[in-house]
Amino acid sequence: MVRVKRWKKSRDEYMDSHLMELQRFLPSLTIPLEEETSGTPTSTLTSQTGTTLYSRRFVLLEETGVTRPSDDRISRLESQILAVSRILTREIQNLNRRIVDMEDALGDITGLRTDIKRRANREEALTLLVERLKSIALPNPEVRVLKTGPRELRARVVIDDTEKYFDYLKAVADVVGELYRKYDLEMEVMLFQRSELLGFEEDIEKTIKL
Amino acid sequence: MSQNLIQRHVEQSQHNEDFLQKILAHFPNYTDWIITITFYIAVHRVQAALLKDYNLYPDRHEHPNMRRSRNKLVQILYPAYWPSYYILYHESRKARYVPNYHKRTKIKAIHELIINALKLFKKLP
Repeated sequence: MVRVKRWKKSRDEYMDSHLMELQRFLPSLTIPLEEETSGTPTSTLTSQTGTTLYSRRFVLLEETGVTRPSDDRISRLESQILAVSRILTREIQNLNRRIVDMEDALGDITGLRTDIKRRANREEALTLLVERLKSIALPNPEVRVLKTGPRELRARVVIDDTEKYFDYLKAVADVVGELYRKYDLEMEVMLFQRSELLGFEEDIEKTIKL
Repeated sequence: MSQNLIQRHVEQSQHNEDFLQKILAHFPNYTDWIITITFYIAVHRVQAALLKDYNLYPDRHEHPNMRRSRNKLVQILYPAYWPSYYILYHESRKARYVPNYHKRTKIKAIHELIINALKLFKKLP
């Protein structure tokens, strides 16, 4: 009970002091007369006198003794505020969408890195490449694996010359895409028709017939 | 700064496309350079998109570190663009290193690929 009284007293004191402060503050504020503001348009949030719209919301018209802005002007201001709030809402929605996209991408990257730690094996990647290439009906294919370091996989997929070269290349693109997703290796897998490699000398580690 | 860089990549892509249109109109037998220019149109669009969408700026086509590998980032972040991007990357490499690529590969064989790639990569960034 005592506590309530104390609280009430302190609250009243706070209100009184706040009111006194407000009364001292009010005369320093002005609202532009309607005639002053009805000509040229002013910015949305600042009047010609420099008093912000935000602060003017707190001005008591009776105490300042100035003319109340017309309904038309208030209506215009409300429309402008509504337009600004719509823009802000849209921008916030866009920002939220971007955050979600970036979080998804970050999840992919983090997920891939975890995956990579388990699959940084060149031989394993080569095995998968051969396995996937076998599922494509390539004409007389072989894989020439070039000599590289343990973090690299360079392979030449060699096929007979064919009119369907670009069709086969699309299929190889899918296979290479899977390797990129799964392995932390510097990779270069290229499709060649046999006649393209005539006279082409490279340091081959091994050749795998499919 | 990054907005400026994005714009510069888009402009470079447009510049390359202007050149491509001239070559297609007047020198269609230069398929080695036609495919190479198309690839670099795609590269600049991808570079702009990666910067805009993910704040990533890879400096290599291929690298074990995924953040530095443009190929891996395209595969993972823009999978719909991957087949077209890979074929352009692949063929532009062959065009530069395999002798007589332009004699083997006629414009008829790559025309559709070029037109589709132009439409596709213009959507980026």
